[in-house]
Amino acid sequence: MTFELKELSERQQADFKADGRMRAYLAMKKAFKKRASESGVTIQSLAEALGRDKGQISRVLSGRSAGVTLDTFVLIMSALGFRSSFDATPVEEMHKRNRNVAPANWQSATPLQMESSQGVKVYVAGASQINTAGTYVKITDHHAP
Amino acid sequence: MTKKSTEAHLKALHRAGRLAHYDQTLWPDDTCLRRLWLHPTVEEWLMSDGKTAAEQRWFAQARAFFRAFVAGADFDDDDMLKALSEGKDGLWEFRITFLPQWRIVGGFLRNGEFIALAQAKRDDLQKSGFGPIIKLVRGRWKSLFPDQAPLLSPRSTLLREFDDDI
Repeated sequence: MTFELKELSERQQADFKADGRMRAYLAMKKAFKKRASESGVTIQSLAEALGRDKGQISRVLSGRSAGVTLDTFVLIMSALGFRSSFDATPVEEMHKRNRNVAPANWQSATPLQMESSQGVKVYVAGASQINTAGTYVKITDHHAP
Repeated sequence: MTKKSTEAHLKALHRAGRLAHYDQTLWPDDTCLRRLWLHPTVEEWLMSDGKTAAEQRWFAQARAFFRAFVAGADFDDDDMLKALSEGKDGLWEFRITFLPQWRIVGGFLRNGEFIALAQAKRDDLQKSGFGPIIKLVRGRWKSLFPDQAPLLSPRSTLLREFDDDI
């Protein structure tokens, strides 16, 4: 499989960045929870170990911080005794989900944003049911990956 | 309800556009260990692009939050998922803590399967209290699942992987 560089839309960029931030946040939370439950580490003691304000550490660990730099992330993880691992996996080498509980081979229904008024008939090509409980829907085939 | 009849009922709701399955993956190997169903109003809100760069970033973060839930991340703490009404009626709030904070309220239909029925800004909830959103969610639940109440179990049980052996 050859890789082809594609332009990322603004939304895709936002989603990829958010995904990375979420992974980092969950990693930090996992590290802190382990140390808190097993070794009695608190936000106060972590803040003291880093010479930082308790409020700042609290905001970072609760996700309320507007932005966490890579330096702060690595610092918190290191203080908690965790080496953060970074890896680069080519998309073409990723295997499809080995576990997927999503409903399989269901048709997806997209509500059409239409006013429901008496006497109006809406026909959607391929739809097997076009009006359910006052909601017009477009039904398309969907096969889970 | 049996597993099969629950599944058939969900399928009917899905086909009628009354519930949407959240399965937004970014990578081929993203895992799906839990199920998340969204009321159409929640889906419209969550899938929004946002009007400004800050809003775009925020909605992307909210989607990442729920992707992590679906992928099976650890949500077993009050920071992320908290029982409403002391867990008496099986309603839970997902707590999106990054700013501005929002709460997404719903219940578990089965272990590892959450039905998100309404959302509200935390600031607004502080003013109005949780009463109105709880009433709204109860009504929506009853309308969708008249014969089945939200599951009442400890959080760690509710957060197990969804059992898809149907």
